[in-house]
Amino acid sequence: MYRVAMKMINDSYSVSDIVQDVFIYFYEKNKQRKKIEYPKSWLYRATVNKCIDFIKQNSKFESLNTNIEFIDNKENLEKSKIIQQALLKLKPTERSLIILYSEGLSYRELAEATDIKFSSIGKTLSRTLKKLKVELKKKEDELF
Amino acid sequence: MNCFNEDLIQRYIDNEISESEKNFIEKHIKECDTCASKLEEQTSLSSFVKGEINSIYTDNKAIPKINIEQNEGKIIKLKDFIITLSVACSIVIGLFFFTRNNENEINNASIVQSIEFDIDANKTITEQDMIITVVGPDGEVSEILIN
Repeated sequence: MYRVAMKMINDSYSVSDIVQDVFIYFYEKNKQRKKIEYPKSWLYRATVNKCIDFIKQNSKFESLNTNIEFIDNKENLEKSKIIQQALLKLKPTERSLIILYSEGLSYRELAEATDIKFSSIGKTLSRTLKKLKVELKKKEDELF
Repeated sequence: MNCFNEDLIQRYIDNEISESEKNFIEKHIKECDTCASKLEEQTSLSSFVKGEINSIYTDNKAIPKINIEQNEGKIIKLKDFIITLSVACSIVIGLFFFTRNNENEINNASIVQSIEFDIDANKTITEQDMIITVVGPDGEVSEILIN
């Protein structure tokens, strides 16, 4: 969950808050005895939705990229920025799908965590992969 | 020739495919260069994108093992409880039978408390007088003379 949120937001402090909020929400749901059929997919879905909300709320502000603790040099920092900007060009559902796909989730889990039908996962994935590649190319061309 | 679409290729790459579809693809790519290069291209695209996204966050934090000590504790407690309960039951049952047996012994013993007789040297053993003192369960004392 933390990794997924980091890939979407890249701000360790905000990500920690998001993951904590998701777990509190999950705990409260359990406390109310509301059955969560697929907890793993539910947690991923909630994390992704929280991240999308966070991006929407903070879209007016320039990202400070506070997550410098794991980006060891300037080149990696630039690369990370390019990938995240390319990801932001995708639709929220596509972005969630591709990030969760990179985490190695199965198609069933991907369908549960996103609003995409199980039968359409393969098709949507192949399209999104191509779209992201194009966006990455564009961003790299812009920068260099 | 039945060439396959991107959806099928993607599912093949991600191993989300039935055995018959897998056999079909593997047989087909041996005969069709277009599909073989499509598969190669899409496979490298998938791994490229995965690698790029994963490079955003490379710090693999060690996730501590989640211990479910509480549950284990409960199981142990439950086991202990069952053992204690069974021991307690056997003690109670044992005591019940023991006291019952003791009661019977007391009843029997209390009926015949003692046998007293004076030996008359002038008489044979079969002709001796015998007095049996009996204490009943209610504490009543009585003597029975046997000639």
